[in-house]
Amino acid sequence: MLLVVDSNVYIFGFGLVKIPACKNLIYEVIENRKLYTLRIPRTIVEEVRFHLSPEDFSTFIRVINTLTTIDEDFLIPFELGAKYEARGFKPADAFIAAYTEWVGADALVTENRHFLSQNPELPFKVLTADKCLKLIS
Amino acid sequence: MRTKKDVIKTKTLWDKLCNSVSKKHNPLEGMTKEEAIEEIRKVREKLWEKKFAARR
Repeated sequence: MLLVVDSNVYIFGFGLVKIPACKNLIYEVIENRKLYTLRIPRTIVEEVRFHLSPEDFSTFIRVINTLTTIDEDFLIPFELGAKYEARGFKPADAFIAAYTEWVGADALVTENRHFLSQNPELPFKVLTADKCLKLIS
Repeated sequence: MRTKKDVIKTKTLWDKLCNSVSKKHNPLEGMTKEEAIEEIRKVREKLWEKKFAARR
């Protein structure tokens, strides 16, 4: 199962706001690496960076580097992002949706209700960490 | 190929990160989940605007 995990799930997973499902999902991905492929774009990494000290960010990068490689934003076709903007997504959300489609992910895991309510006809599932855990366990 | 040792190493790093974060100033302290999501979205928009401005 190929997953894109949004910045809010990582941030809640650290415990900045305690949402146990977010922490448990990260553990699940770490422990069952054979079952899940994680993808992450530079934008999400930068968003996480904003909420961490430089030292903690360095540790975060070490975790990510053991799980996947970071995709640079410029790889994602502009037209794909524009498609989502035309559907009412804000530019940054449109990029995340475009990225999720571009990598062919099965699901975008996010706690962002704007994603959850925005569009029922996406080429990937949009799941909260809790729903994702229920689906995969 | 990831070994059991790799999994333990990654979990240890993740736990270290969580532990370190818990001891520092929390910019989202006292916020509800929804408030925190809005705050994270503001950062997302801000970073995105910067990125676009740099490309112009």
